[in-house]
Amino acid sequence: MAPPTLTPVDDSIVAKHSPYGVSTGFMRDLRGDWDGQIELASRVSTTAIELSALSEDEVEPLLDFLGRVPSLPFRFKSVHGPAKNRQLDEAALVELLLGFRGLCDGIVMHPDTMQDLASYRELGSDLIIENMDARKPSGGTVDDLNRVFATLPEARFCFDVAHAWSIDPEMELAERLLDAFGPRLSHVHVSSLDAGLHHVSLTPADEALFASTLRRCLDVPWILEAPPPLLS
Amino acid sequence: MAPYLKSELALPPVDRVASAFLKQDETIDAGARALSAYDEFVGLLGDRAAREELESLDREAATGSEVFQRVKSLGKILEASLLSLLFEPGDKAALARNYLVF
Repeated sequence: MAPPTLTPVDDSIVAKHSPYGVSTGFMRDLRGDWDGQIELASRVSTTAIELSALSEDEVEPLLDFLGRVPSLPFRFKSVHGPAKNRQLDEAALVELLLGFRGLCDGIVMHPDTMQDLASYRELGSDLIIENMDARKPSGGTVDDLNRVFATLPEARFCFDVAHAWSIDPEMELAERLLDAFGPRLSHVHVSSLDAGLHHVSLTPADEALFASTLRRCLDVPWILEAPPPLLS
Repeated sequence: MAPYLKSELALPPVDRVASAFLKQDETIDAGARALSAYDEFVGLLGDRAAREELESLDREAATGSEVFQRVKSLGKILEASLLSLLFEPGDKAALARNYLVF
């Protein structure tokens, strides 16, 4: 396994963390090739992975894949549910997502794409709500997420540290999000963001900036949302 | 040492675990997750419908059972948070190796 970030291993909080792994969301050239995505992800870590079905038409193929693959090496497997190309009504989408129960450790959803929150209640604690970045109209603040969790009290929380930074570079929002939703924390998304707020590999400067916040999350998996140096 | 051990052992077990998590900044949040998971697990034990569902399950049916999957998930949360208590921050790993193994 190669180092997950550009920071020297001795100084890297990510390199010393376990479990960590990658999201397959950045593997655009391997869309639909689940075996290929898993092989690439395994080069970084075999302890955690987030399988990305960001487009709605990827959900059924991923369900089919997870249903027939005998086992995967990862101790933690999350699925990122659809955030684009949505066609299904929400009841039908929830019915589809229920198929992941028992096949993964939870399904991450973007709250700004969920119209009828109550229809997701059936997913219970299998549902994981991610905090949004500054581009999104809602879902980034404690107040926004309080409203979501009020309707979905069993849902868990995926903390995207870079999204929190995009709203408050002083990282006070990050601390407040962990204060409010830490007990329901499932895992952490780790990356840096470019000027357009797209995920890019974690920079040493950001790793240093995020370190004190990440120290509050040492017991949960960390998922890299952009290729680590080994893969980029 | 004896008075310390006596006072520690006089505490309820959950208080002792909570106290251990609170002793270091790095494990306070993990402690909140551990005790939340424990609280929810105790709640499920007290829920007759949940107990009956668990008793009725075989290996195949467990995959689709929300209750079973939640109990499994709570077990993972508790395991991960207790591991962080033993091994975080990193320099504690040496103590765990010396005093907890064999």
